[in-house]
Amino acid sequence: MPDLQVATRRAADVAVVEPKGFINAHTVAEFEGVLNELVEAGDVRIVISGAHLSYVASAGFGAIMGLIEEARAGGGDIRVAALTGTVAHIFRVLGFDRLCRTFETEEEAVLSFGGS
Amino acid sequence: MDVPATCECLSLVHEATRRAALAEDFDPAVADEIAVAVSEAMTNVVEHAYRGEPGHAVRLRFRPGPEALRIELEHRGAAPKSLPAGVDLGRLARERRRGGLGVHLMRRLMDHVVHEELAAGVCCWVLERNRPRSRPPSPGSES
Repeated sequence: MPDLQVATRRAADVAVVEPKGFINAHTVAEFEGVLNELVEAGDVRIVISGAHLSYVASAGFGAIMGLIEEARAGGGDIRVAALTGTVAHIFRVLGFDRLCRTFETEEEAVLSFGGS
Repeated sequence: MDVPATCECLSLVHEATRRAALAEDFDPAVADEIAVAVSEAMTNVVEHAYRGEPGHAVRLRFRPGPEALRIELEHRGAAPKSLPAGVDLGRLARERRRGGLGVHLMRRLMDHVVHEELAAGVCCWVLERNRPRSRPPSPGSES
């Protein structure tokens, strides 16, 4: 099984990115590549569903940090949902909950774009 | 253990560290945090000390003590000029920066993080995580 698989699907006009595995400096290129393609295509309403992530190192958070203002400048945002365990804890201790809106479920995150 | 200083070996270092922490009776969630922190130190060595050049190695040592688990990553690459005091995520995001989080993350997950020069050309990241009774509560652990 690969270290990281990144699937993308649509929920209304929101792109849902679903990484499975772990994101570190070795695997981040695939995750960042998917986010980059979306933002460059103007597909800037993005939800990252973290339910199937075992851990995320700083490289993964850096990929979000490097693109979130680009998405916002295009009228969208990068929002995060369904984080669990160590990933959720590291998200908080890094202070990412102040940079990036988070939701308990993917559905809530997708619906949040309706009012934005 | 000696590990090739490559990003491909990050998952090996992560798993070896997680197992070492579990063997020292750390809670599984804490063992995961220690593994992430040590992987960050390894990433720093690969990307900054050796600048991604092939053919280098890192010597990884686990030194359990009565109060803390100490992990050392010895290398022969460049030493950082200084370690960042903190990070401003908002500023980094506005500047579209992708890096600059690794040392911050190490410090948030561990109780003691330093980079030492042991001898001419020999450097070492030292990370310590206190055993549960000796660790003060962290701001991110109250929920």
